[in-house]
Amino acid sequence: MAHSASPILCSLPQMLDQHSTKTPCIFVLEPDDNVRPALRHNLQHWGYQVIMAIDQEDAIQRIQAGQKHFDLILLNQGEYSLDKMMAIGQQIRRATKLNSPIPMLIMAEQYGADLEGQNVQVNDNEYVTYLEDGEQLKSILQQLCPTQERQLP
Amino acid sequence: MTAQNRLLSVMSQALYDKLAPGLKRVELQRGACLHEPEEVIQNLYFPLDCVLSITLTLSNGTTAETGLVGKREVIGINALMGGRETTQTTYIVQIPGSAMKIDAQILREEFDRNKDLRDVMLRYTQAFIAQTSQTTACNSLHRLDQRLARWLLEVHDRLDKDELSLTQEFIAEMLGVRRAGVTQTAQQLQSEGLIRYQRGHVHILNRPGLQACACECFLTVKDEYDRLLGTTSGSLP
Repeated sequence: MAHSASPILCSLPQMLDQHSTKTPCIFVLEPDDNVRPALRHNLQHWGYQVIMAIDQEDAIQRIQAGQKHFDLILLNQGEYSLDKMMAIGQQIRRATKLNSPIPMLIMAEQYGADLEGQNVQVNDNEYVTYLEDGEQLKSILQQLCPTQERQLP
Repeated sequence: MTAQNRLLSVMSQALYDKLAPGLKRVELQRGACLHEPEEVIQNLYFPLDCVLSITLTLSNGTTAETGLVGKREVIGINALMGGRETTQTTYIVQIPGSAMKIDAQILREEFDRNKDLRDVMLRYTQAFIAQTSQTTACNSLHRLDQRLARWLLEVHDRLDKDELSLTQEFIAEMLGVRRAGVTQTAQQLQSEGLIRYQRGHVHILNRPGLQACACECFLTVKDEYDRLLGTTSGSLP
């Protein structure tokens, strides 16, 4: 795979331990009406359950309303800075009140050719992806949140 | 007769022979700007195997495509609508290739005295208005997957190859949407086996399927072009 060599992803064994045989679920924050349908389609096509929020307020409300467990937070940068999106993701993560930090992935919006195709780890369990195509998202999600049962030794 | 451009092709031999001395074949590079807003249009281009975009940039810097020009069109028709007419649009080379270039003044003088040329160019203008009108409605009313499928068909129709070199950023600009919208929608079309999109290259795998996915706008505009301009060489006076 073209993207599997992207220079991030430590802590993978730790994350794999969190997953069982159930279908993993991704909590998505995507404010753009144009993007949401295709993003949902792709995530479901790759084998994920999807919880979709349209903005920060909607996201927090869904979690506080007792939304089911999820395994990864996926945020689209949209018009905000990466720092702002990171803060929003951390707020969503805190709202879950889970002990283990759920991996968080931000899809960057504005970037040049130099960053295209890269995945960057910015903090523990926090990543930014600079997509050059949809396969890159599929690849990094598969690493952070595998859809197949882990093969036990 | 230059057969690759449909407008030149549908002209009568006599009309084409009159224009031929003024036509020069040129190679256009990707990203080249053929016209900036408010500039006087100096030349018209009849694409042979390149694709050009007419774009409009708003004051906040966002850009969207308002017209697509390839081998069935000419770019710069505003030059025929007044001596020093300008537009608020930009003409850029989207996919590089060849075009027949003609001085706007030469074509304007022939347009003023030659009814046959007027007939071809006015029919084309009507077809082009149909394209821009349909695009306006399409951008407002249709889903992004339908619009992307339609836009890819429009580009594919103007080239003779299935491999299109187009970055997601460029497509996003042309469709007036965010890059993420193109990334995810292209992936959706890929999962349906209609295209393969990877690293700035779109490969059309299933044109009938893409056509079925696209909105009605692609065929509506195509039919209007066929009605106004005919489909065979020398079919217009």
